Amino acid sequence: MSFFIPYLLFASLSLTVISGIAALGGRAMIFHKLSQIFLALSGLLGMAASVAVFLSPEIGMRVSIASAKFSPVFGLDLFGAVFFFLVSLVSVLCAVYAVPYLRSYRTTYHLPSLNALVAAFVLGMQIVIVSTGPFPFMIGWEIMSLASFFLVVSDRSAESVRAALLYLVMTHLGAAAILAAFLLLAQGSFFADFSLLTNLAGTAPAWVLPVSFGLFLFGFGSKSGLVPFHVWLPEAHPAAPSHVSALMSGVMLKIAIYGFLRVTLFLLPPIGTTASLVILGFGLLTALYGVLYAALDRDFKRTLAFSSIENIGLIFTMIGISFFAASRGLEVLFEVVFSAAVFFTIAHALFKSGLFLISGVVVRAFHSRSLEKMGGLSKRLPVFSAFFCILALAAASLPPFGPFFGEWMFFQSLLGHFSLHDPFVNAILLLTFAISALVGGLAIFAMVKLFALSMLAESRSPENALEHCERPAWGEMFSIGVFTLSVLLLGPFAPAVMALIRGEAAVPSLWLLSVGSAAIQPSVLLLFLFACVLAVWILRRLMSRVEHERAYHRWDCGAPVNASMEYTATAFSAPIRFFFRLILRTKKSVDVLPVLATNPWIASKSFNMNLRSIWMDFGYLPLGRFFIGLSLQVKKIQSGNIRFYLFLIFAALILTLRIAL
Amino acid sequence: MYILNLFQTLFLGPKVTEHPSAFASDDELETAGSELKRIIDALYGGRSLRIRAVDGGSTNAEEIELTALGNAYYDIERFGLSFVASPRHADMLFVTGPVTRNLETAVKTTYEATPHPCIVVAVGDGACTGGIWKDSYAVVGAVENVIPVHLKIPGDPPSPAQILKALMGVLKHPA
Repeated sequence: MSFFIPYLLFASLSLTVISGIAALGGRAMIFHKLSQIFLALSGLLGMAASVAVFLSPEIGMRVSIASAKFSPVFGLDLFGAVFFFLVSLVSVLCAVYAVPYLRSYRTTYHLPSLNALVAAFVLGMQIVIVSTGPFPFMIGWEIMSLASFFLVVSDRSAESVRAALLYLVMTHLGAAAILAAFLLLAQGSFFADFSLLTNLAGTAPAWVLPVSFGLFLFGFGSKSGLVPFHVWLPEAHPAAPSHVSALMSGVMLKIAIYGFLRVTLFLLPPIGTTASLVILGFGLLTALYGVLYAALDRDFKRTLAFSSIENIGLIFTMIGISFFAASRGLEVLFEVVFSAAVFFTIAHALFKSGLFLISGVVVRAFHSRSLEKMGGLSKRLPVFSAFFCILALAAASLPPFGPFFGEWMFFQSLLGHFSLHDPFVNAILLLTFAISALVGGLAIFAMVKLFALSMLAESRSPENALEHCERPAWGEMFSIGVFTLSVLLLGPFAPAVMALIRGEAAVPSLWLLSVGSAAIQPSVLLLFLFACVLAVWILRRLMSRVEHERAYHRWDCGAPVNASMEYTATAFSAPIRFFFRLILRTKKSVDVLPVLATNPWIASKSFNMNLRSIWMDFGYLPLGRFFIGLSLQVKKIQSGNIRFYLFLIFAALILTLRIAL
Repeated sequence: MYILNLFQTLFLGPKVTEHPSAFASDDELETAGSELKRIIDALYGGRSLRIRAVDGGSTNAEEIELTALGNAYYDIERFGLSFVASPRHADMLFVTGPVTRNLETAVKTTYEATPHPCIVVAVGDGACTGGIWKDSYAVVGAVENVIPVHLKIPGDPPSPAQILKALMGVLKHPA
């Protein structure tokens, strides 16, 4: 068994490459299908390899190439296997989804290059996880970044190009920071693997550790969308095709978290209280800022992107709390919150990928990403909207779905440690608890907005537009259905997954989730909810005289009900916008244009409201203006005067000699 | 200053409400009302009989009488009858006026929107027969031309007491 496990991993990586090559065969649909089949096979093998590691975590696996100087090249331990499983699962389902989905867009996208780039993207992520040293890690990271940059521009619109360039700048600043941190730690031996790096980090000069920690935080934080390095995320994620958005939001962000955890847990020595509070601060800020914009935004996919920012914030909050606990010697709190963070990461990968796949079908049906133009799809696609409803409830972290139990463990363990006689710890826990609770509430608001405005009521699009909308094909429904089923099953199986994350061989019960004195049985909760629904249904059948039922349209007081009477996304989020107007600084304007010069009352009015990003307006744009101004000043040297250039060369020579001698 | 005036009127001004004993008691109405209350209690298990009034194009004479049912003198809510704002809540429909062609749809829609079984009462001569507008080009005519009618209360307009007595009749001996 353990003999051929490494080959599974190797075959998975090779099939990803083959998928990319198959895609380049040509524009014919057969190459498109072949590419997706190979990608799905690669994912299945990857899942098998991860499961093999789950079953025998103490072995792990190493793929070594004997002739190479830096063997072993690839390895997969239990921690990596969790993330490798996620990458594989999401890429399988995205491949199944892409077969029919991209067929509808074959004129918009250049399919051969798109599919090849998706394969490269997945390959990059796989390499990052299985790499055992900084060198393959950075190569994988760059493949992932560059492939996703080209995927963002794949519809070749001016908007996408802008978003992609912003993304390219941010991601490369991040990659540069990570590379710098690795070089600082390695002290020259870049081909060292992570275990050697750990030893080097132990003997590093005192200033190296905080600096490299800061660089890692910026590098991985900018990739995962940590506020204030998040500005690219809400632009780039929605611009890509939906299955790529699912990969980017569901998995790429997790790769950044994987990288961050890999360096903080395995590479750097235990980080102190200050560093953990920095992580916690960034996490809380990100969660709050992300959820506010998720509640306010009127674009379907941007809402999902902001919701991802919020979830990343929560994960970083959990990581911050667990490191904080470790630095204060609270071993139990560290363990529970850390496993809650990893569990929530898994849950987020599942429900967010599912929601992005849903967004593809929704956007195709309405031909728009704006929530103001949606509505009424649930009558056309009932099964689809049931899937959407479950995923949205899961994203709002409501029981009995998987994500709830991650948050439950987090909150429960925060509550359980209040009684300690340490006012500083208490203050931190209380603050975290309060902000996370606020974030949780607003997340429900955001998800209600997303589901209700797009699915319920009447359609806001022109008459009968929905009658001819494209129904989701079986491949799309299959992928969405599997994601729905997985968040549903993640609930009852939460204790088992938690045991897997902690690496516990023997657990008291696979059905009981317990934190300190509190315990919860997710499966019982699920059964109880099912029983409630069933009881209500049976009671209704028994109590009401169904034979007297008569269907008639809703009572409209004589005025036909139409879509203009519906709640809009702008109106729905108005209370939130009002309460947080000091932070959000939304700009509203009503333009009044008189139609008749003689009568001022007859006028056409138009309402404009744009959400602004305070980080863009007060951070990035002034910084950009400063650098452009600086460059203009420097440009003055380029005067065209040859004597001045000769002087510059001479000055440079003198300076070099001065330094060298 | 304004507040002072207000307080003066409130506390020191003349008495404007009369004691009930100042009015002649309408024994006929009271007995009909208490009988009606007994019947409604027996029929609906203690809750009120809810009425939705629909104007099918009347002169508003009937509406004035129906409004009078709710005033302090008649006060039919004490007998277990109440007017509701939506046909979805109603047990009984009051339709007034000869149904005009423009309001035919309104009458039909309201009838359809009312949960069945529902008692339809044609209030006033217009609603019963078409009244002075019978056979006009602008009206459909009596309410029964549009929806099934269970009780007709003639009169142009019928007085509140007549309306109550007629209701008692139909509830006592359902057709």
